[in-house]
Amino acid sequence: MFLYEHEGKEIFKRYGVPIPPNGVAFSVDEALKIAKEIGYPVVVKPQILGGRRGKAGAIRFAENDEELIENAKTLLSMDIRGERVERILIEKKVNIEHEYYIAYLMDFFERKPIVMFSTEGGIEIEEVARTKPEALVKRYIDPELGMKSFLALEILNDLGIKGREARKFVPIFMNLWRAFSESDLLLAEINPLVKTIEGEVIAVDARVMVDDNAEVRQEWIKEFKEKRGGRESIEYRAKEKGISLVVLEGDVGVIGNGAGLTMATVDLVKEFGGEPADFLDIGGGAGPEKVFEAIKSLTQLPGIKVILMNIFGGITRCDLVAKGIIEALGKLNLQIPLVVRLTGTNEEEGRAILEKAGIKAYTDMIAAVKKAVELSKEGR
Amino acid sequence: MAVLVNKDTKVVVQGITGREGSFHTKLMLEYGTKIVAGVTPGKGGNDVHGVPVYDSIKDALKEHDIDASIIFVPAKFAYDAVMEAIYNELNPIVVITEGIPIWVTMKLVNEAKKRNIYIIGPNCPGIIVPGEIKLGIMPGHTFKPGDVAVISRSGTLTYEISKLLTDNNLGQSVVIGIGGDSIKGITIPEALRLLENDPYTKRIVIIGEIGGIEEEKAAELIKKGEITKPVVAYIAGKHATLRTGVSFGHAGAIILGEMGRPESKIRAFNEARVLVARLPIEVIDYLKTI
Repeated sequence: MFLYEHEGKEIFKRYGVPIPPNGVAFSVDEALKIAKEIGYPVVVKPQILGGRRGKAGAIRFAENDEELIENAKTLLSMDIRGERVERILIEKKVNIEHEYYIAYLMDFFERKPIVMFSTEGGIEIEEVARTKPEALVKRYIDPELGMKSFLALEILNDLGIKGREARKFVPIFMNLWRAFSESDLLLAEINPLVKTIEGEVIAVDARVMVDDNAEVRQEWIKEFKEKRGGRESIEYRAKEKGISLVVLEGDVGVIGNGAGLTMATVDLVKEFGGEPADFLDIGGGAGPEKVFEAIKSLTQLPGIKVILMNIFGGITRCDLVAKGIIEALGKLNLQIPLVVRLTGTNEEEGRAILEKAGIKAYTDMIAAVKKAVELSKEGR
Repeated sequence: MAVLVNKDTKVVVQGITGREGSFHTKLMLEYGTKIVAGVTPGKGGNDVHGVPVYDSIKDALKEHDIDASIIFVPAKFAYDAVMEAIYNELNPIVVITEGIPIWVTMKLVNEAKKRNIYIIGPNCPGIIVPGEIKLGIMPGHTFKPGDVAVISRSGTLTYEISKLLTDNNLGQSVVIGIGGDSIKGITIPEALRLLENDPYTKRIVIIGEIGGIEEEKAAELIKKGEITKPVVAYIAGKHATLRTGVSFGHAGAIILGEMGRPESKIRAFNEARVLVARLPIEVIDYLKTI
């Protein structure tokens, strides 16, 4: 899960990584209140999860109330690459002497953490790597050793930052490492890391990703999620029920068991000319309740014309899936057709249960996909 | 002798007294897997489907020869369980458990690598050598012996494609479900190297998906000529490009910026002259031509 900039900064602050005074606003009034507390000039930044706001011209400055009102209004009605801006960060403007870049990230393939540092901050790091690779140092970190201050000094020295100047950066390296390694982060990036005219080193941005699996041992993840408005989203509610749902934009609802099979089903719908409305994986060993909840979730998607269920029973039992379908048909007053493909463990029992309710389940996946796509077009 | 395991491999089930552990112990025994012991801390002295249960692997080793482990313990206890298996030099270690934090897996995999131990998973269906041994949770009847090896990041999609293989008289030398997490033990390139040296494997199917760079790295190996056996691939999630930064069911099935995109994987395979099937059934068609 990616964090909003202000959430990432909250983590940084806990570990002693300096950030400018700031506050999050959901309205112009709130923005004014925050600016009054921290004092002008301020930076106004939309909080989105997609990143790359600078390029969208969405970072604004304000010297006084009028400017803040104007910019806050504009940003709060903005869409950045399809993401609606509903919160903005009001932050004390810092006096920049130079912009640097620092990041820790997990290399999934090499299975080791990486540290990256550059004297060229404020631009995308891929661009630095392409145009000025000598200004970028990238090193693997031995997971047993972890980050050490001598490693930080080696990196700084390699980039020509030495002595007292280098010492200013070491606490950032160490504190950010603690945030990264102790909070189950997969990415902790500061771009830019600013050295101010006053000589402070301070994190002006925060791009942070946390491991979803770490929720069991990082209580703050749940707190952050609860504070977010996203609680009400269909995807969030599905997750609470143990269902993995990703909303797409078409009209063929897709339910499958297992991530790979469900992704393949989504692909097949597209392949045969349909438009998948979602990806919904009921997981392994799902019982009737989960199947019921899955169908219920999809009925809440706007514009959906047909539901396609693709079940290959391994640890999932076809009879239990069939029971869930019958329950959904009975309770949900389903207005759209349901196409079912059922094969694997307890297939015969499952098929018999469905037949009693007048549903003929397919054995072949392709046939079921074709039928669903055909039905979605009839309704158009 | 197939890769990693065979009919003589002696197995301990860690987490044998749990619901999943006990259920799959029964199915694995029925398949013919030599499960000699089970371990659940605090449950030593019991038995599950006739398999004696011990408190620790060390205690089990006093009574039995054990080669490999399969782990069903909840994510919370996975670090201890896997480390216990590593410190007792069991190999391979199959981790079925879903939901292990990435930092935990990272440390486990690094420790195992130091000792040349293979971890399969986590969050995987396990490994099966049809007709010999099933060390996992896959439906055994879907597979039959043959010379096609399957490496897969998915569970049910593996069953789907394996069933197509079996129905079309293309038996399998081994099927390895490497798991759906971002960081895992055996990766696709590592599995390819093992299969290249396996005399029972003549052809290889890779079932990949969005996320990570394993498919690209596998294509690199093939392109360099380090893998000479013919390979056919299938990539799931071609339509997932609409939503980046979110996981599609598997924690590792996520597009992050430019990393993990399906088109990059398909391009890499094409450049390595690996046929990429658009439909699952095309895997069969392509295999028949090579």
